[in-house]
Amino acid sequence: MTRRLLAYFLLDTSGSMHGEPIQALNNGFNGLISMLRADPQAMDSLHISVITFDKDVKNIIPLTDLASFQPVEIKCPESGPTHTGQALEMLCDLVKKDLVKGSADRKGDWKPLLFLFTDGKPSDLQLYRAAIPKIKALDFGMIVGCAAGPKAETSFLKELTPEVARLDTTDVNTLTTFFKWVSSSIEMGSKSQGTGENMVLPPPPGELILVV
Amino acid sequence: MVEQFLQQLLTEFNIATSKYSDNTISRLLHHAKINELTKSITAAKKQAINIFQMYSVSEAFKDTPIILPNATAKQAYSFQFDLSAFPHTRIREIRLLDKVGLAFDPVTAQITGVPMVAITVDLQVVFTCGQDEDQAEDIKIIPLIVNADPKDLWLNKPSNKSALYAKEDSDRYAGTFLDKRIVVASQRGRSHAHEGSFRDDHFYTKPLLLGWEIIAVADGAGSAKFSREGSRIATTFIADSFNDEGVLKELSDRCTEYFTPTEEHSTEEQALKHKSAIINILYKSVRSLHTALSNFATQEQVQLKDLNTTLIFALVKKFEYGYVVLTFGVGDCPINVITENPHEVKLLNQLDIGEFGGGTRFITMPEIFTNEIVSRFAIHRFSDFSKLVLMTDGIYDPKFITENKLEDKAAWDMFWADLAGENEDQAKVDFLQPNGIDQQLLSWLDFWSKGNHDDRTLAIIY
Repeated sequence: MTRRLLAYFLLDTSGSMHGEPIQALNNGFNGLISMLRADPQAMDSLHISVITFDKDVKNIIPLTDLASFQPVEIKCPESGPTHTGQALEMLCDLVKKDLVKGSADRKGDWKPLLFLFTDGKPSDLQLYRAAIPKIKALDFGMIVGCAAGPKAETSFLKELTPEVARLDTTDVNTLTTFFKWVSSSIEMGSKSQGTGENMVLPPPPGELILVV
Repeated sequence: MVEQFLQQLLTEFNIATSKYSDNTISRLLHHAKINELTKSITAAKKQAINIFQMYSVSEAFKDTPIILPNATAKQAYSFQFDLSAFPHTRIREIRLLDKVGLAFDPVTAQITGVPMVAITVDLQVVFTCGQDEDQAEDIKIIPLIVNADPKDLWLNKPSNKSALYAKEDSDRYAGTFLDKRIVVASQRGRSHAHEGSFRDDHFYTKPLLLGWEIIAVADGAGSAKFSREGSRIATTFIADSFNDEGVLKELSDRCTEYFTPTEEHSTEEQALKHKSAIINILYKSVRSLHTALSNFATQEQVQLKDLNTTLIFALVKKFEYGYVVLTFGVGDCPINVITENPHEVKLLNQLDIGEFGGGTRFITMPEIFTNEIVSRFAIHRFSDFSKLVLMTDGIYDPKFITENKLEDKAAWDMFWADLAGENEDQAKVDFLQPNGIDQQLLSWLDFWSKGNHDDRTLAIIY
């Protein structure tokens, strides 16, 4: 068993994503998978898990290695709230179950990566805030928050991670550029690091504004 | 049957039942023409419903997800369709499958073959539903992904020879080591070759004064910008720092007193005193290496962590009472000794292995210089040894996988068999023939191992 790099995608499928945004998200996400397929390092080690959150929270793709990953269609309801907090709760459970820590007879996984994509703000703010310390305790190699579209609020994502990116729109071109950047960020995830050191993100493309 | 048919007909034509209609029905029950029409209409309806059902099955089949597992280029692929839920459905052919290099057998409903290239294709599955001459033909689209052969994805870009702290992509050395021989090879990992970046590993071996020799191996951190230079400085500086007659004289004397006490009543206390003196000599060099790296960082205006590197070394001398092997290690690279008599394998240093992959410690980290650093040094004596091995995690990860296998004789037996040519590439290292052994070892380092593409450095004293 080789070292795995686990990447968790939390994707907002609340009502506001209905229509063009969800199409763009599907295009962008499946495009990301195709890009990663051409990266030998990712093909060797990357495992992907996808959680969608709206009124319901679903682990639509349980942890799957990139080589076996099948194209996915992410769907969203016509309306409904954004249960980001509940999604983080599910993420905690999944990471605890999935992640292999190093021991005398097993290689530990790389520090997991988390990408949270939202076009709004958490409807379950209390649960969201309660989940943040639990997420931080899991020691992710990197957490990237992405707030996309005019209604997305970055301030809540900033509570979760310093790495917050902002996209003005949720159209196909913008999301494709974003996922390209995600792809190069993932490539950074499997390099040896010193204990306690932080991963450095690759420079973002022009469409992406890093929120300071 | 006729009565039921007529009644349904009346309903269809909105003719209300009455005394007359009932009488008419009774009268027509044995009417030849009506009987004939009833039969043929019923038959026609049955035929129509059969056709309907056939097409409905066809629609259902088109809508039922069939997932073809992803294939991999150059690897045999087979898939068996399970049509048990669709008893009268047959797959006649699969269009575009030949483009992938696979074939479909309609009799067994199986896809087999070896795809040659990476491709994503929407296969057109031509299928029929129904029996005998009544058959509906349609096409179902099933996507198939063929992943690339991982070996084909790796590029081999040369590193930029004019860049700062440029380093050769590989290095090798063969020669003598005390009264034994040494062979070392170091190869840039595929992950670096893919990006055209440098090898971060380094090794250095050198005969010192007063019969001492040293071998040092360092693995620069992948995440550090100039770790290739860090590992070079670490190995060369540490070796040179010991090459001082005064230092080595004291080291020799202390070792002798530690291992062969002259005084009649030597106490544990005295032994501890000598041990402490030896470790402090080693510590002084390690400490001055850290200072040298800090100074270098300041002078070059880079951060110390840009030079992050692990370091292991073995400082060895042959005395009348055996080989003294002094070791130090920070990071996740092991030093092992294999003795024949008794037949044993020993790990000589403690490894820094984090909970997470890649999490280790470096000589550049100030926090390792606490009192606990003592446990990083070790003093050993062997009346003889057959092999002394130093390696970076680029070797240890694929060949030993976990720390506990480093003291496992079976794992080492496999390792020696592997070096003797029992591997996919039949790459062989002949320890009986000193000529060209360094090139053999370098070629051997090119082995394929999924997920293990780090720099590889292996030093063997034999």
